[in-house]
Amino acid sequence: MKKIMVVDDEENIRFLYKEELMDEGYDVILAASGEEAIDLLGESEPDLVTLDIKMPGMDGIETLRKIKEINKKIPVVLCTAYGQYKQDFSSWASDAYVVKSADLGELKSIVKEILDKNN
Amino acid sequence: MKLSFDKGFGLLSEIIRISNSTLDIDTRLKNILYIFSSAMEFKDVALYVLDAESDELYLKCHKNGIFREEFSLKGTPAAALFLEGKSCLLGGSKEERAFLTRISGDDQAKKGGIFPIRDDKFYFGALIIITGEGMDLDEEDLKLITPICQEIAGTMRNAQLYSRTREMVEDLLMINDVWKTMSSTIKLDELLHLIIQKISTALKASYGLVRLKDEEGRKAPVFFCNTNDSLEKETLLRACDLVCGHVCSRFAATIIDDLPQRLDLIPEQSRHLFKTVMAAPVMYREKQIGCIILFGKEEGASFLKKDLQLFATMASQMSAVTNNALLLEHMELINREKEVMVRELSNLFELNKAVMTTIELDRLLHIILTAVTIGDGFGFNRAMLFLYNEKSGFIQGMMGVGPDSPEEAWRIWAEINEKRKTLQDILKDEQEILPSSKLNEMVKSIRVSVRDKSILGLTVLEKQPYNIKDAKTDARVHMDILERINCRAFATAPLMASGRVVGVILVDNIYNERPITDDDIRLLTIFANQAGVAIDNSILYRNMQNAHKELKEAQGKLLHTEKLAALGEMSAGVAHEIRNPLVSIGGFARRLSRKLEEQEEKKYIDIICKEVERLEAILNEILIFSREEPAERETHNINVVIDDTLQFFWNDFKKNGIDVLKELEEHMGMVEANYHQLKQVFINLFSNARHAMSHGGRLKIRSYETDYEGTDFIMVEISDTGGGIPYSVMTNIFNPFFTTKNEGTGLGLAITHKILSTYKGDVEVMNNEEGGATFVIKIPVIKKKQD
Repeated sequence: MKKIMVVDDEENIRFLYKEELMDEGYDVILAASGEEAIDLLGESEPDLVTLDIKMPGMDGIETLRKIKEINKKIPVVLCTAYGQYKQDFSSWASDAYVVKSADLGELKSIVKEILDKNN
Repeated sequence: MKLSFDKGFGLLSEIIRISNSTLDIDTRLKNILYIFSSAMEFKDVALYVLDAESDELYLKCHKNGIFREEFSLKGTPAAALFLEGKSCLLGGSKEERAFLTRISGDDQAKKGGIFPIRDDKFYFGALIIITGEGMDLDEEDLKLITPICQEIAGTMRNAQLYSRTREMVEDLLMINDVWKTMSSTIKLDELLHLIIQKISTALKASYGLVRLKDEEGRKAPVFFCNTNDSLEKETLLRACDLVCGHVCSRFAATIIDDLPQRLDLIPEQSRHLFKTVMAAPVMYREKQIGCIILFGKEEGASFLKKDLQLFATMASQMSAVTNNALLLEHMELINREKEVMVRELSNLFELNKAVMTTIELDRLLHIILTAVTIGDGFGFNRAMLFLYNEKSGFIQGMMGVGPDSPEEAWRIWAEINEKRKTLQDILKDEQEILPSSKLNEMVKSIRVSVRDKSILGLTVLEKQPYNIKDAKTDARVHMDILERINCRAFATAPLMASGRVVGVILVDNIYNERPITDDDIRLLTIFANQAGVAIDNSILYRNMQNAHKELKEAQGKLLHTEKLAALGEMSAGVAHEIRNPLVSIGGFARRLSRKLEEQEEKKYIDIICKEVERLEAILNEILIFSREEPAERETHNINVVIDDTLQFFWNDFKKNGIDVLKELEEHMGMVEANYHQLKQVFINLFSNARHAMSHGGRLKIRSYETDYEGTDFIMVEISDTGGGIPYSVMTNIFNPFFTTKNEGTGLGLAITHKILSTYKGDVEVMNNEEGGATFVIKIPVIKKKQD
């Protein structure tokens, strides 16, 4: 069973993502901040990380950089409230870029696509 | 008969008294003869006057008897003695008696004498005495007769002197009179008339004539006629030419007696007038400038030496005054020319002032043409103005000023004369009325290429004026222009501005047919240069105004963009805050919906899902716009978008009692835009209408295609029957965060405006007359509908 780490400072979002992704048959670990995500990364060894960009403390872009330093191979999907970061080339390091929506269809299909490819 | 000494002395003193009396000479002589003859008891006495030239003696007076009127002493018995100045007693011989009888006409005259009347220098005449029967003249008698003869000679000499003096005084008076005449006026023509009149009268000439030649040969001869004889002027002039030539060669006053032989042309009955002619040159600085001529002395007499002297004096006086008058005339001429120049210049100045202070092009062109056509300006009958476009190479008729018919022309000119309108008045008046004549229409219809080498093109290319005297035969005037202008003669001048030709002005005198002179052209060219600069300025000004307008519009747009940019900054933050809760709401609703069976509650959840979806779409739009990210574009039929959006509102409208009236034009072009954005536009507008009609009403949606400045646009009018938009709000209505509604963000219309301007469209709002507001949106057509 694939393991997905969901990083978001909003508790309701984390809860929604966890429910939805578990319904899709994934194992889900949650992190409420960039710092927590880095801490958990070593022991939990996720197959994929979804990462909110705008977070208090360490933001998504920095977290992304740290994650890639630790393990270049872990795919990261950036989730954002608006398209601002599409032009920011530091976000290019991510494997995908998704605008947050109540409809999680896009996120789910991207996650599935990346995980299938890595198999 | 011997007189006593006393008696003799008494007779002598009586004769001296008579001689010194104031009686006229003839009476004095007659009285002397009578007293003398009576005292001496002579039968008869006669006094003869000697004519120095002919040596003939003429009867002056006598006592009685029938003396010969004239006789010559030559060959008479007394001749020799008489010529020696001696008295000669007659009657001694038969021959002497016959002489006495012949002279006196008296058969009984047997004895007498002839006595010279003379002083120490001149013979004045002779005294003839006839003595009675048995009476002889002796030495005693001679002692008395001799002093009496001397007294008579003295009397005659005095009389002669007196008459000569009087003649001289008369001449002097005459000269004085002529001189006074000459000083009475300084105007040449008047002066010449007066002079010739006075001189002719003074010298008793039948005709007098003065002829002056000036450089232009324009001086008309001045005549004076003293007689009833009506001689033709032509004849007189030809005679005058001959005489002038004659006088010219001599430079002096002269009498000409042989003129008739040289003048075959003179009619027989007038020849006597030319029998005697007197002529003198009129001199100016040792140059002959004319001739004064007198023809024919009255009563058939001849001009005498005495007349000639007087004439010469008068002629030289006349030269002097004529010179003055000529100088004055010359000065006046210069003065007049100067005045004309000053007037021309001041008019030119006025015109230029009017032209230079006018910046609006149509009005400027009209002032220029008015200036060229009014009397105080250049006075042309009609004037037409063409502008030259350097880029296109075409000359385009702009305006024409002038009457359409001769009748109109006379009426206008009479009116201007009557009202005494000045240049300034007319310029001021004309500024108010722009022309709408046939001429104007005709001029506007003219458009020729400069490459045609027609008269307009030539004026532009050669940068010079043309004076066309006969347009019909002039190859430079093409038929189309000739037919339209329809005038035989006209002139063109280029309108110049800093070395470039900006246009052409064309003038004619079609109604009064006054020839266009070089002076006209010269002034017109000067004015055209000024006018050209003004036109150039005016065009520059117009371009500048346009640029200014565009700049202002751009500034307005920029301001709007700045507002939106500020909005973008904010909405980015706001959107993030909204987005997360929205994702939670929507996400869980979807989960709920999936988990619920088909039941009443599932519908509610689905509505939540749908609404969240819409909110997210709006959020996306706002964020994308504020980041200037182009949304994906597709071609759409706007009617379809309207219908799609309306479905959304259907229930809402129904619930609020709002009727929907659609007037959608079926055959319209397609627009290229993002579907969601287009939909957003209508959502915003419908939503506004719905809020405006919270107590019901009618929503009218009308779509149609139209052409606006060469581009096809789809227009959609959305009218409500609500309360309309307060005037104070109108200008702010498309600004972000501006709202009059209690709910809503105030972004709706700002976004609508932003979306439409992205597609080069626009939105406008107006209040309806019958209440409510109408929004009109405009989007360019990308693809024509194929059918």
